[in-house]
Amino acid sequence: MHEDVTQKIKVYFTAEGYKELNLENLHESLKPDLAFKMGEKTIFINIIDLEVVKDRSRFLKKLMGTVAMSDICEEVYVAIPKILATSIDTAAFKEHGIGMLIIDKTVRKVLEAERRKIAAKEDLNRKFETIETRLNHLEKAVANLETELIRLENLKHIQVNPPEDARINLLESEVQDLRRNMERIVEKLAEIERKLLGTKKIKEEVKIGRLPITEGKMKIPSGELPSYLQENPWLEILSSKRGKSDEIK
Amino acid sequence: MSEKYKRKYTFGEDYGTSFYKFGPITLGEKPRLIENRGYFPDKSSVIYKLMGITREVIVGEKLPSYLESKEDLASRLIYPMRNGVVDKDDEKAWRVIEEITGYGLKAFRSVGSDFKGYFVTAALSSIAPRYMYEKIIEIHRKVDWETGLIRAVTIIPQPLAVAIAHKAPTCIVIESGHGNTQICPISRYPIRSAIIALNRGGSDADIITSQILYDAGYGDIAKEEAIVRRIKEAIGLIPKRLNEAIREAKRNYEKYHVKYKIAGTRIEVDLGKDSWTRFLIGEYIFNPKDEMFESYFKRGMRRPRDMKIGEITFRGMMDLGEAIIESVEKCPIELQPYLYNRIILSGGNLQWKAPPQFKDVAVDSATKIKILLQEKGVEGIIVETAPEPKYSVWRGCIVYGYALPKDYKWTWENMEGWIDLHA
Repeated sequence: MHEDVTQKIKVYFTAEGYKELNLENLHESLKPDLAFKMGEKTIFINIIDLEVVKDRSRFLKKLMGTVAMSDICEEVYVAIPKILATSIDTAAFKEHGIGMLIIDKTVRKVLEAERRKIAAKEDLNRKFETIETRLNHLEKAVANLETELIRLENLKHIQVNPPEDARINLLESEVQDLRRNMERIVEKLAEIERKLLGTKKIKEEVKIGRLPITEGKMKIPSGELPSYLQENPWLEILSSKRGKSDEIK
Repeated sequence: MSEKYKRKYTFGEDYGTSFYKFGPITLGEKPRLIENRGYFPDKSSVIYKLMGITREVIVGEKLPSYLESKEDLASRLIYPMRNGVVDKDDEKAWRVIEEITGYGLKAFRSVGSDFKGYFVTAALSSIAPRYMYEKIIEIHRKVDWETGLIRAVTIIPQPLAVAIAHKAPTCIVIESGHGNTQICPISRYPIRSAIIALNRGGSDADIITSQILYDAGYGDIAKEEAIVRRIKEAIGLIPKRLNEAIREAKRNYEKYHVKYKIAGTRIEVDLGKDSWTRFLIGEYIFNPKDEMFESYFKRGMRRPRDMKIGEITFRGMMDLGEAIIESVEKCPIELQPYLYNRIILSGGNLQWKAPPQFKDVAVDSATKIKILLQEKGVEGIIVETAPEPKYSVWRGCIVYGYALPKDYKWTWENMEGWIDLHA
């Protein structure tokens, strides 16, 4: 594979905001020449150059591999040098939802890949979510145990009468209940805050979230401006800039 | 809103690679600063619960008191702007920037009764892609919603701020930080098409220092990034001309012999007969193409590579003189002499000492650049080093925010003007 072509593709996708993916852990039969990721979206790219086309079995293998990849990523592209572009029909690729990039001096996307949903990935995501929930429960349980252990450790040194012991136990269970409730409230509040931040409309109506601005004595530079502002030619240059819109009131 | 209002409520922010410098015009000559980094505490840890930490990310002066074990520090302590550019989907980095921005503005909540919000000028690297501008604006919107402290915001490239702070409408600004170096010609505004970026900065000088220490038998120290940086700053020298400096250092071994004691430890680094290599550290910043470095590359030292981010190609191996000439020659011919006539050096990577006892062979950054350009036939060069490079960008932001008329509205075509957050 020509290094130059790879480089151009990397530059193209990096400029779009994608990150190159490490392919080490992928099975050989499903490994593309290049892969990129942005957020949840993954793109696989196979390069079909003159060397590949000349070798019939390698060409077929590459095509079949390209189709198979569609099951494990969102978008698949074939990258083809301009010299081959006229002899390769895009219809077949289009039918399978595979996109096409033409590599010349720059990279041109001539056929957009069809974005797919990955069934396997969704299953995995569900499994991950379940595991994550379980882990969260476990974490909470461990934290409670830790607190309990510290408490017991401290109690070893304190002599208590049986009735007092019962009262302490009661108080402790109440404190634990209160703590659990408080955690729930904090989580809820955080969730509400996140939602509020994203809603501009609510911004205009709800202003209780704002931190107080305190009115204090401002230290206004009396007469003299800082040295970098004095006799600075930029003041004239910048102040002569004029816009078309209304003044900020 | 009058000029009087701007004299109270203009606010500057410099998102530097290592420090975030911030504050209103009323601070005078110097801004406040905090390290441009954030710490994501381990929410499951007992310490987290015991200390009652409720924040997802911690920034500011008190950050060190929250640090936990060393093992996972690298993944939890985030420096979002190490290379001047933040990845679009680097959520943690953007979260840190949001927290830092809020921290900076909230620190100046005490205002007068006439307060209607600050006019905020933020400075980003000249190579920052458009999505970074968009994110920074979005962050300011969020902070304003939360605090009500921002009236309008604008963003300028850091080299422009440096030029403004130095009262230089026509000049070249060379900003060299930890990860990269930007050469930016300015004629009343940055000439964007002539900006040259080098994929080389202070971290590359750290790499060659590390290799030198390794070769001298200090393999363990060579792995300690912070120590290597201190050694680089203490022993590195910029040679006037590399070959002559090496010859002289080998001939006059005693004079150039260098030892460095690591403070608070029993360790002393002694370069012995290899003390001449201290000149390689300085030269590498200016010209990594010198054949002296080939043996290091052959032994596996990472060669600074060309890299493309957004529309900008960061050159790896181009010598600094060559880069300045290429940048100037992209500007109109009539302008070129004026650009060579005022070259401003800014950023920590160009602040090198030239000890007087080595003056025959060692020079400072300004002289080195002059030599590199003279060797290539350029005349009439004046190079100056920013006296307080740490504050230049913030000062430029203050001047910009103070002088830019409030009716000058932001356009993406010109990448300048005010974005009114209350419109």
